[in-house]
Amino acid sequence: MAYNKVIYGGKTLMDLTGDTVTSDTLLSGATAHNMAGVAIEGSCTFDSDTSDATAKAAEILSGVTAYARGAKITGTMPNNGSVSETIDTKTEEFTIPQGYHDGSGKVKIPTTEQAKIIPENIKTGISILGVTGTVKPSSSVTAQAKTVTPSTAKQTILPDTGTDYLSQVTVNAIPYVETANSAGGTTVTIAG
Amino acid sequence: MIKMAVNKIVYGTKTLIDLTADTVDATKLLAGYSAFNKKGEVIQGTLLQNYPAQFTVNGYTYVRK
Repeated sequence: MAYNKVIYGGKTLMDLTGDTVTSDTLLSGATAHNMAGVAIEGSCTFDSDTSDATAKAAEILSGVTAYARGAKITGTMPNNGSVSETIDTKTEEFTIPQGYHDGSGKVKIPTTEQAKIIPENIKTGISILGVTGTVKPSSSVTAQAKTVTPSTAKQTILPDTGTDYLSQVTVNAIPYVETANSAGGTTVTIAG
Repeated sequence: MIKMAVNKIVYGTKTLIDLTADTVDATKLLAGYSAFNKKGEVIQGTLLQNYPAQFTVNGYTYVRK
C-alpha cells in the first residue's frame, strides 16, 4: 500500500488522510495524491466555467450545441442559408424570415423592370430610384392651343386635363364696345 | 526546524511519499475538495465555484462537499 501519513518521532511530517481529491474532481491531465497516498490523474473534463454565459437556445443555430449556465443546450435558430427575392410591384414588401442568414441573400428589382428605369423613359426633371429623366416634350406629348379674352378678373390659363402643355395662347384684344344709349350719349363697355 | 511544508519523505534510500511532481492547483480542483500541492501545502479547489452545489453534466452528477 502507498504511504499516506508519516510520523517521525512525535511529529507528523505529512498527512494525506484528510484529502478529498478524487480522479473525477480533478481536471483531466492534472495529477495529485489522494487520501490513500495513491498518485492519481484527473478525469474531469470541464474546461470552462459557463455559469455566466448568456446564450439561449433561440440564439444558437438549430442542431448546434453549447454549454451555458452548467447545462448543455441545443440551438433552435432556423438556418435560412441564402434568401433572395424580387420586388415586382411598386408597393410590394418582402418580409425577411426570422433566423440566420449567410449574408449572400439579395432582394432586388427584377432585371426586366430595371431595364425600364432609364433616363430615356423618364421626363426631364423627374427622378425615379436614383435615375433622372432626360425626356423632353415630343410628338408623343399632347399640346393644346388656347384663346382667351381679357376680363376685369385675373385669369390662369392651363391646358385641359389629358393635355401635356399649351403650345400657344392667343389673347384677344380687350373687348371695347360703344353703344348709343337712350340719353342721347354713348355707352362704352370695356372688357364687359 | 522545518519551516516549509513537507512534500517529499525519503527514509534511507526509500521514497515514502513524493508530491513534487503533482500538478494539482486550486484552479484544477473542483470547489469543495482539498488536496496537497507539489509544495506540500493543503489547497482548496476553486474550479466551478460559481456552480450550484450539485449539478449534472453528461449524465454525471457532481456534488460539492
